Amino acid sequence: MKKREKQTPSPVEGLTLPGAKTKPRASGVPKVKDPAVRRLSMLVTVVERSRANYYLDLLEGFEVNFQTVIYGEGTAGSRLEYVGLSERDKAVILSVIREDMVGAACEMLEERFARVKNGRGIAFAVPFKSVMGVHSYCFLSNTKSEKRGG
Amino acid sequence: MNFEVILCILNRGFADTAMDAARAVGAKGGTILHGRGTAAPDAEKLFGITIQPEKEVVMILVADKIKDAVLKALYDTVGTGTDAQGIAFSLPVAQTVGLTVSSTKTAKKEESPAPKAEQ
Repeated sequence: MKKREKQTPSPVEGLTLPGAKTKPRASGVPKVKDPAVRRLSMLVTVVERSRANYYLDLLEGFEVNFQTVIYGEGTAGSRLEYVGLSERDKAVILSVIREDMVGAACEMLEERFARVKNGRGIAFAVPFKSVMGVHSYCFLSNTKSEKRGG
Repeated sequence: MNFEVILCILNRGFADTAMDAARAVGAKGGTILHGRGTAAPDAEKLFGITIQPEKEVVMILVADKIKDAVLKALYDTVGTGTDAQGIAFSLPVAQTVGLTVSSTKTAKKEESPAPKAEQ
């Protein structure tokens, strides 16, 4: 019987966890159940204000635990090339999302921007450089830690 | 085409001036957010800047080709030397969705003459 090899993803360099008090393992990965530290991104979605809750619910499906909405105003006129930004009242949704989910979330948003009535908008992802604390990281990345509260 | 997001934090009431300056060098549109500024009182004295607490944040997604031009335009029109006392910086963007085909068309137009030039 063949022993099933467990493939562990390579650790991601660059994402620092200042709150990690445990000794790093040989691979330099902090002590979480999933050995790979996966990068996080801030997904910024600008949509019409009336559609904010709709997109918040959709994005929750991509293991997004933390989202916040800021109200803003669009500046583009209707004749301008950024279609969908002609209405002035906008909602800016900031979602902390794991980088491996960004592609799927963007695909979903692209499809909804085209299909949903008054649902047009823009979205972009800004990569995180660091996160304060392992607990925060686990919450933001939807990763369960080995130790409760650790 | 790669994009970057420019964030410009300036005194309230100057967002339209900033957008006009950005549009003049090729930016297409942006989003204005309202905020409240904070700064250390010592820093205010040191740099001779008065911090007006009511702020506006202008968020503009631009192609990286025109990023420097937009930042320069913002510096000239709403920079720290002006009444707007604006600070602008750009962040790298990993992925963008929702921009229309026109920006891609522009990119193709710009790219297409290159092979001809080589021939």
